[in-house]
Amino acid sequence: MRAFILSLVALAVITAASAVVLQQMPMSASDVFSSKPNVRL
Amino acid sequence: MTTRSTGRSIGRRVLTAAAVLAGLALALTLGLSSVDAQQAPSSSVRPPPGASVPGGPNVVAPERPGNYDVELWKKVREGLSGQVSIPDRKAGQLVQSDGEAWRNFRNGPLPRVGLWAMVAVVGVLALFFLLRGRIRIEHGWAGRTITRFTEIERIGHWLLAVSFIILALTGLNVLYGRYALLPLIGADAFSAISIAGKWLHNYVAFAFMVGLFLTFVVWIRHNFPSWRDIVWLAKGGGMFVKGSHPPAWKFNAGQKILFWLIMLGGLSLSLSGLALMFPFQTALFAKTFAIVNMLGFHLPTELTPVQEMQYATSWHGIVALALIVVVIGHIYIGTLGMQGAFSAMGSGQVDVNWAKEHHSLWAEREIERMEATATAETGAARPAPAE
Repeated sequence: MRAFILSLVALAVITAASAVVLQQMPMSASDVFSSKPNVRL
Repeated sequence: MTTRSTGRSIGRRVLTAAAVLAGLALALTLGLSSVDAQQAPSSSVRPPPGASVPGGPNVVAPERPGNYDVELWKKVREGLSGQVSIPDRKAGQLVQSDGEAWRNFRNGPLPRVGLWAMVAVVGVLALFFLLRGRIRIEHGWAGRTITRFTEIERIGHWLLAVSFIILALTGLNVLYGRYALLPLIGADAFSAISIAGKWLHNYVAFAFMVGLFLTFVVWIRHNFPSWRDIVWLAKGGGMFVKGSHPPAWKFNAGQKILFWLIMLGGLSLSLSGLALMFPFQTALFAKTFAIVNMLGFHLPTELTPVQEMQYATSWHGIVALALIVVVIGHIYIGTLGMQGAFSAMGSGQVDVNWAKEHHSLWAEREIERMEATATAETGAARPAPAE
């Protein structure tokens, strides 16, 4: 039971840390291929 | 009297099993027709000008007037790529026709076969349970336990297990939610759940990777194949015959197969998931295909970024569904299917008789080690004799 609870704590911590880090990173096609305002298409 | 009642009991089990299978087959048929029925009108393929619609009414698409370049537009429709001067090279392709094939696979065979496989494994397990019953400890509870898994092993297992279940549920919603959940809860609730599920899927994926790494590190040394695995497999692991207990070390052949399926499947899911999480930035499949081609295959190695994404989504879905099927079997045998098995991951302790029956080689070694430790401790505690 203790191991199970500890695993849930680890799950919550890793998930929260991932959420914080991933929100700083480009994660969609529009982020990767956004057209720059100084580029004339 | 006993023979008659045993015969009646077996007959009742077989009849119940047949009824369960018939019910599953009916449910599966209804479910699949529902998926097909909802997919039918969604095709966006248009016939080229002048072509008749196959299988439909004999309607001929109107010819285009003037100097309409049929050949050029045919090539464009088939995925012709031009050159562009902007960084987004995929913009050089006006119509990416592979998307149609991907979409048909994503909405057709993938969910259909996946549903078949999941229902089939539940049906097979139900049938097995009805015919074989729960696998009990034949010599009864010994009342003494030995440590099966340490705390770090159990933390790794539960981290992997809980994250896998969250990923499986949120992933299944992506594949089946519009058929199973949307009609029940409505568009607004389904939209909110799906958006939350998508983010949860992305974030929990990293906990899954940590769990995968942890379990790999602590269990790899117990999962190399040995000749005893062949014996274990030849005897069906003793699952089908009462009183049959082929010897095994800490993990038997079935558990070793499960370990490698989870490890390799989990790694593959992680890599394809990362490719989907950071789209158009990897060439995972082109590189993998190049390696596979060394074995004599002829897979395409020149893939556009969009094709990479299509392969990633398809592969991610295939491997995930396969692992879900495997894990359903694992959950069954670890809980309902076998008496005394769950405590191995619950408290970490298992009954000595359970250990002797299912992992005899490992149990003998552990019991010897425990007795040696107890003897040493007794000797150390006893005062030294006077000179």
